[in-house]
Amino acid sequence: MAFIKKLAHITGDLIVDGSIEADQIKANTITANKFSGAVEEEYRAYAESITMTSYNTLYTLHEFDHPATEWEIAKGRSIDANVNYQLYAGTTSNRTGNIFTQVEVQVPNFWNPNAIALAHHDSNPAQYWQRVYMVGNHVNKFPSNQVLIDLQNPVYKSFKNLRYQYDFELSELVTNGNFNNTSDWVAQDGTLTVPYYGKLEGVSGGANKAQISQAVSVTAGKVYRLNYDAPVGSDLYKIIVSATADPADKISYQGDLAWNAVTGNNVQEFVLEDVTQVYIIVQNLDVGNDIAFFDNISLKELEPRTWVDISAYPTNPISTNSVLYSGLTTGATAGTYVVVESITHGISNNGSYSFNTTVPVSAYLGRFHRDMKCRIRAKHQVGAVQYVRLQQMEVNLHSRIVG
Amino acid sequence: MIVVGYNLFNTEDEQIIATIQGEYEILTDGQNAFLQMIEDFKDNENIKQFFWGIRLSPDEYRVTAYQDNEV
Repeated sequence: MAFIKKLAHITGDLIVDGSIEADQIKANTITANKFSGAVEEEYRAYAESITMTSYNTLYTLHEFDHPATEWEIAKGRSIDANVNYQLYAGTTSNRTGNIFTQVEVQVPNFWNPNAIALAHHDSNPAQYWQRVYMVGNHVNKFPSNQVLIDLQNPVYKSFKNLRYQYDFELSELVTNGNFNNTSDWVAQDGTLTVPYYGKLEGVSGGANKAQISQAVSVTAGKVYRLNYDAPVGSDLYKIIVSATADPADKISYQGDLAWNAVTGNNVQEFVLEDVTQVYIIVQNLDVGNDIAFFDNISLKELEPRTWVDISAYPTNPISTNSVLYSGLTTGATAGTYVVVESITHGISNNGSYSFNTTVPVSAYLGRFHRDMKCRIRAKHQVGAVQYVRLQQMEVNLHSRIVG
Repeated sequence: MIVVGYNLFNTEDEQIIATIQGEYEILTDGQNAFLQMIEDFKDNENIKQFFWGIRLSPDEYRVTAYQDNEV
């Protein structure tokens, strides 16, 4: 019979002369001489001395390849460059304009789009923009330029306002948390009334602290936010998240889920593990005819979400939901160079014959493993100057395991 | 909406003018039009680049890719 042992704990050191195989290893710290599959890979490129004489004409500053990752592990790939330009005006008269620097990648002959996540329609925050969300953190799967929707009828779209939010609040789980009346709460060793806020008064001479409680269905393993108000500076209370209506069965997660209220709004966040129902208990601080005032008791599940606004001209590209893919190639044909990132930088000679400036440019290509041909190009729109010249450019090519 | 066009060098004022050749809703229509445009204009030495882009609104489009014209 196969040997099965769960939740084994070792206190002290475990020495293994051979190897350990696992689907997942979690640790606070790992110290190693080498990771065979590199977590991060760093490469570089360098160029200098490219003279751009013509106005508004694109010049290639450098061409280079972003190397495929070790072991073909899909990693987040980026290109970061610091481009040092010299504006040579050849006059002390004022010369002002812009330099455009862009990071480009060549569309390969074969490209397999990488899935990002299932996106759900949310709203239209502005004309021709559709806001969608994905459950979880997917920001590292978006390239800098575009997304792809619907592999059968491919639509490539620009996007903006990409962000991760860990705490999108789902629907309210507590009923009558604002105490419009006394329903939905079970009082014990005291009386619940609702003169304005919730008011709980214990029994004079009673041996137990008065409490009210309400059972709430939850999902094991999810994160929750508990809000509760203490509207009166005195007559405070304790709030407890318990497995039963008994405060003694309070749940622990990095400490007991029980807190004394302080005046004003109170907020707690915690994970509820291994339970599908909890009791929200409001308990007076003392026995006898102690009084507590409370209001706006709320429990909501927090859902991690990735938000992004997608170009929606002429209509919304997503009706209800659809899988988003990386749109790095923008749908352009093989061999075409895609502009992944473009930076416009203002420049002036400031009354000098020659003026130098450094422009940082950064492009994120998304998560994949393959070789990619890249180049950095630039043009200037500074009239009546001798030239704009690339003095030197340091390029960092980065690949890193991302979630 | 896919936008295809080219950057034309005007020899009189030595300015480069972006010219939209066509706009397409279907990806493959846009790709075919892009390749046809390159075939049609590849010998025009005043065309510096063919471009590929996306329309963001009736008044705005964004160039997302270039094919240099190697005359």
